[in-house]
Amino acid sequence: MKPMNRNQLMPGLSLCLLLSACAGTEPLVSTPAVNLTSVKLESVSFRQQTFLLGFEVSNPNAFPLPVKVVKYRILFDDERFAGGETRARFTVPARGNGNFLIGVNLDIASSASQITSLLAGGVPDHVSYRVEGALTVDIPFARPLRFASSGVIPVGR
Amino acid sequence: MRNLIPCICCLLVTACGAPQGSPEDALQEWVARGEAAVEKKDRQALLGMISDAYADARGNNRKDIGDLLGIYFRRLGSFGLFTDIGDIMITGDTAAMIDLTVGMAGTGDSATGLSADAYSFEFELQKSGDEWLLIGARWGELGRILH
Repeated sequence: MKPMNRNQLMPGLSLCLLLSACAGTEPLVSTPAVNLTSVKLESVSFRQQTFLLGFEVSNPNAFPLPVKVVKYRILFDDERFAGGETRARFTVPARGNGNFLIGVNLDIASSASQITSLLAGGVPDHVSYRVEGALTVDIPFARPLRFASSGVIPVGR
Repeated sequence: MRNLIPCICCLLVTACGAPQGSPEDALQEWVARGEAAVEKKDRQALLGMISDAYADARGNNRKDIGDLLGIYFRRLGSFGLFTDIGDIMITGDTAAMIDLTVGMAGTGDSATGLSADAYSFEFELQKSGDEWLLIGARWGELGRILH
């Protein structure tokens, strides 16, 4: 059978867009809170340090959130520490919490300027942080859910 | 007026292609019925189109899909869909696959948190008596791998 072409779709789309003016304002998915819960220095070598960052996601929705991508950026003491995008496969229960870990490898030679303040005088006991990013959920048509949080957290060894 | 264009398209396709009352007709009608039920937020009508044996690779069963529909219907005001049937494949008399592209109106509205992306769906249907029922589905953003 022949699929509809673009010209056939446009009138329908236009009508749909008109209807959207009547759409409700409640978001499809309420934004979860994402907090950094632990920072652990996992391993140290001459060239590289590996940190394990623990996060907690609080889901305010009355339905589970299947998370498939985590995009994040972390600042320690106002300096960029790590960032990236990682594929995930976990579900945060309805009105519940979920946890995930991200491993960060720091090549001391190439990222010295970013971690100078953090590591100056050794790894500090506590560090102020800011984390921001977005969770992509496996719910059709849902936009990535942006989050941001900040605080002070102990650094475990 | 809103349903006129798809209706005309269906009539044109029917006139040029499959014979009246063919399984392909029934499957096109199944898609149109589903679209209308979504736009009316008629969850029961949609559940009536899904087999008790429904299962997908995400681990969803029929109840899970009903819950997912409930999210959209509770959270959103009126909204519209546009659908484009890419292909209908019929195997024997009782099994079929439908490739479908679905877009949702109201997309790009930051208040509703809807993305403007269209999605590709692959529906697997089985005929039970006179009714086609959904027994599985895969989906993903348009151009991405379905799962």
